[in-house]
Amino acid sequence: MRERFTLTVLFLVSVSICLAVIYPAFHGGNSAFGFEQTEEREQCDCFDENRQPFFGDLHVHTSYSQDAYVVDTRNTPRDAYKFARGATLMVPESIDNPAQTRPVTLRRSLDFVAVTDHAEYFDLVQICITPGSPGYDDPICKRFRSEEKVRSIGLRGCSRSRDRLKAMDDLTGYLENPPIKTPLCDTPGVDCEAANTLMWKDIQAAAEEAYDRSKNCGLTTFIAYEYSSAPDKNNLHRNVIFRNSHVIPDPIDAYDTGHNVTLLWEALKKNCIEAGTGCDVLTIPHNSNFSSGLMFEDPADLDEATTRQFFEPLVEIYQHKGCSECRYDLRYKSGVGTNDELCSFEQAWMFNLEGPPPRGPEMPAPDKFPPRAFVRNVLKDGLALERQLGVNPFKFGMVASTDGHSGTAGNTDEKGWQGAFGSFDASCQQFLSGRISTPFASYSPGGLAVIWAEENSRDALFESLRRRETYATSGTRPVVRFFGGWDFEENLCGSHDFVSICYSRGVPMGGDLPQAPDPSAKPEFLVWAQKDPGTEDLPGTDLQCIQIIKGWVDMEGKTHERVFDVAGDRNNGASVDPETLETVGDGFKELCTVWTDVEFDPNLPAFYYVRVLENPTSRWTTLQCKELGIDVFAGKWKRRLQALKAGVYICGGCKDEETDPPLERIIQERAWTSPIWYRPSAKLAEGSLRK
Amino acid sequence: MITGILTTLRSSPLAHFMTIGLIIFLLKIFFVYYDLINSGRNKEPIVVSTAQIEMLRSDWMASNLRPPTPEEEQALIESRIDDELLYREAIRLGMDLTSPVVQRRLGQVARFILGNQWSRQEDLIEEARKFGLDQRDVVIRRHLIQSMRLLLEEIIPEEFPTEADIKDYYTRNANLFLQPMRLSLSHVYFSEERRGNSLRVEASQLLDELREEAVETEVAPYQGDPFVYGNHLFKRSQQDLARIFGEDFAQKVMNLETGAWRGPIKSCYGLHLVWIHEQTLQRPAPFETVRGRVVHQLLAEWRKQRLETALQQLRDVYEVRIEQKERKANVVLTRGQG
Repeated sequence: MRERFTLTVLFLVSVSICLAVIYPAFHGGNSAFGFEQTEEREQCDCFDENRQPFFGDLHVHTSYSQDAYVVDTRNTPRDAYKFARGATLMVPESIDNPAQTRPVTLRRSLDFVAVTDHAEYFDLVQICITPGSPGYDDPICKRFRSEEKVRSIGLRGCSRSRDRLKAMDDLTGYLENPPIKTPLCDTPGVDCEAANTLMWKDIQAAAEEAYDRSKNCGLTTFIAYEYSSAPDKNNLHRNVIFRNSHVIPDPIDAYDTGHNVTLLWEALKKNCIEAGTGCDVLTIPHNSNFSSGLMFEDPADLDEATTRQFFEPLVEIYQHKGCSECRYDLRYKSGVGTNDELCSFEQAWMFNLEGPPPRGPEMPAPDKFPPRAFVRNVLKDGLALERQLGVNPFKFGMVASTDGHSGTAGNTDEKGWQGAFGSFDASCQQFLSGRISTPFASYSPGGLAVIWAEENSRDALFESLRRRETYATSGTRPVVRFFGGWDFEENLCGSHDFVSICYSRGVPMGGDLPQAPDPSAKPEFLVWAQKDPGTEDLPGTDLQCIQIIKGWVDMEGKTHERVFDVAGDRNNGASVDPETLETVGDGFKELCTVWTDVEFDPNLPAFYYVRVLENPTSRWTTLQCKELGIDVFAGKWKRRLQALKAGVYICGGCKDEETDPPLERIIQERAWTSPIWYRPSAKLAEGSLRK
Repeated sequence: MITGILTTLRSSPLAHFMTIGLIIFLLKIFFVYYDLINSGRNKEPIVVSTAQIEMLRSDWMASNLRPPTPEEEQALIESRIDDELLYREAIRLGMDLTSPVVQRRLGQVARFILGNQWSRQEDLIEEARKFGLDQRDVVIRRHLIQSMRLLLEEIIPEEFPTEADIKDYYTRNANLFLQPMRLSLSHVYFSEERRGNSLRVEASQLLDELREEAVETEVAPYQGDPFVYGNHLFKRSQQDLARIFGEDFAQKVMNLETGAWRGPIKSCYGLHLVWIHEQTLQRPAPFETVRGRVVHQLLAEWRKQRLETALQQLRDVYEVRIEQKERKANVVLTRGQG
């Protein structure tokens, strides 16, 4: 009798366990998964409820982007996805020889990728790369394909680079204000709308094919595109990233919206969020450093602030075309709203997409840069605006990506870097010898987006993006955890269960601090950073220190910032050996601390984000110069450079070595986490479009 | 003797039937053959001219930025012939007369070229055909080729692979459906930052204790330091582990036996005592979990075969000529070092 009872109980228990496991899989429940499931797929083998970091690239271009094709990139979205999983791709040899001869391979594969080609030219590219299509033989297409010039005249070097840039300009009507559609579409027989749709469908198919829905979870792909509004060449670009395969029928581009980003969000709201198709989407702005400060303007009203916060939970803080965190100029010893010297990291020589600013005596001083060109200032202004409006329009978490235009997603190692812009930044020799008249030497391999999620699937990753549980790196792969709360024990770094404790008592990066338990309470933050293990060929660099950057607004509405060194040692003496170009001196394998903001004032809104610095390493230019026999650390290097730059004046490129902004010879790779915000009043509403 | 046969033929009803049958059969053969002749040999042969080959080469160079190799060039020519075969078959089957896509396109083109003087769409299209506009339009041509291709490779539901076909394909292509080797492990971590030089001694001591006292894997990690990824990792591939601990560590761990404390093993961060819970070797994924992918690939393969066979048959019907001419050495893209 008793035995039978036990058996029955056992049976019931096992049935309910099975149901508990199976139920969410079938009913899209979010209890067991921690995220809502909107698509059919297997749960990943590596599922971890404490979440784990996934490394990827949310911004990469292929030959489907007009500016990539024009600089001889021929890799397609399918190639980019293969590359992300470890396949070798070919990139063009040089500006003289566009043949695809240089092999590129990632040292480590990526977990996720979004290919983000420029939507504004889907039609032109589709028509011009499809032999036999009406329009294929149009002069515009011939110009686009660089046909006659390369073949018959044999355009080379400076002339070819100039021709290609000119071609880009000629084709780039979307930069005009208002944007102008390519005249190719007016040619009889040419159907731009159909071509546009074909391209968008193909991009979707490529992402679907490469998405690993098995429990191996090898690669997550996002269907995406780049919305490329740039009035008067001021960059307002956004990457539009979709959660799953339910996307909009045609991309909403700058021709649909003019240069009015709010219309993009309105259209996405109508065609995606409220379409009832299961569509979900967010937009990630990038390169505010090229926006002349226009990327983040005051919202017109509360509605716009709410919409903005919903659609733009993230910002791309760093990529190929420089760092947008903040700006400090070591020559002038001053910055744009900051005294933080570490803001001199990877500053591109550009104001906007127009080209390099004047150099020499006319070289603009740091105060000529608009404050809102840089994310830290924008975050500070967001606090002030929230006080006026009730909603913070600039509540950004951090990601970084490459913005590479060679299809080589996530190719961020300085060592052996092969460039990211087709035949334009093919080699150091090329820019040093002055063949390229653009500021490519000030560009860099770009960074990675890191997402804390339960597993590597679209739903899990997308929800993390939405709640900003992300951080950005300058290309390396340190692991950074960051939590805020009111009662973290001092010895939490020694606890094996620190992750679950932090989740239950506090909030992770990207969150809002809960209400203070009492008026005298001070917020506490746990930061845990572990160095990048690297690979055998390129071992990771030790960490130098952890900093917490606090921004706040005082009672008068004035914004402030302060950088706190909270762990490690800024002056650990590590440096780069000028002979070997290797890092010398030790740093830290891992760093952990619980930091309390003792200056905290409960009446003032604030944000806190983490910056983790690695020990110094050589910049890619330093490494490539050495291969050419130029020692950038030696006294005579400038003269040698001068000799190499014999062709400079022809191109009108780097005019004067002495007055050019100095290239960093050594850099400190780094990570930036999403902020944790403190808001004094519970009344301030969380911006949300969802009921 | 002949008279004998004739007599039999005249008198036997069976023979009448057989004769009639024979005549019908011969007629049918004749018509089929006539049809073939009509569609193929009788008409123009398919000629790939040198000019066309040049065109193929130049289109190819535009997208690949180098001249094609001889093999690649051959492939271009073959695919050009395939397109032509498909196009002619589509015309023969009257696809151009029935396809709404073609009608619409023809209407568009005709209105642009011939103007708006026709009120009825049919007349307009008629006129367009008279001018041969249908034969010159690349969009129509591409559409017909594509439609014909789909028609030839189509597998109707009745012909879908049986469960046995699917299983067979899965077995023959096991290497396409592999699961990587995966490990579940617990580890006790000794942080180099926290313990400095005493690291190795402490790790070895604890290893002895764990073995002697058979400490459980749930408890043991508490005797070491916390690790940022946690102390229990489930179902990780070697690549996953390399990204967490470093490549050296991952390689060593993959070869450990299960169910025992092992180590200390060095990672980028310190030392680890490791317990492997289970190890799934690289092996074919269970059939049920990949069935969908198997069907997809099998169908794709069948379609390809079907199309190839059909194209081969068409080649036997049409005469194909490739104009070869003495070509000078490949025109190479200008290149140079500086």
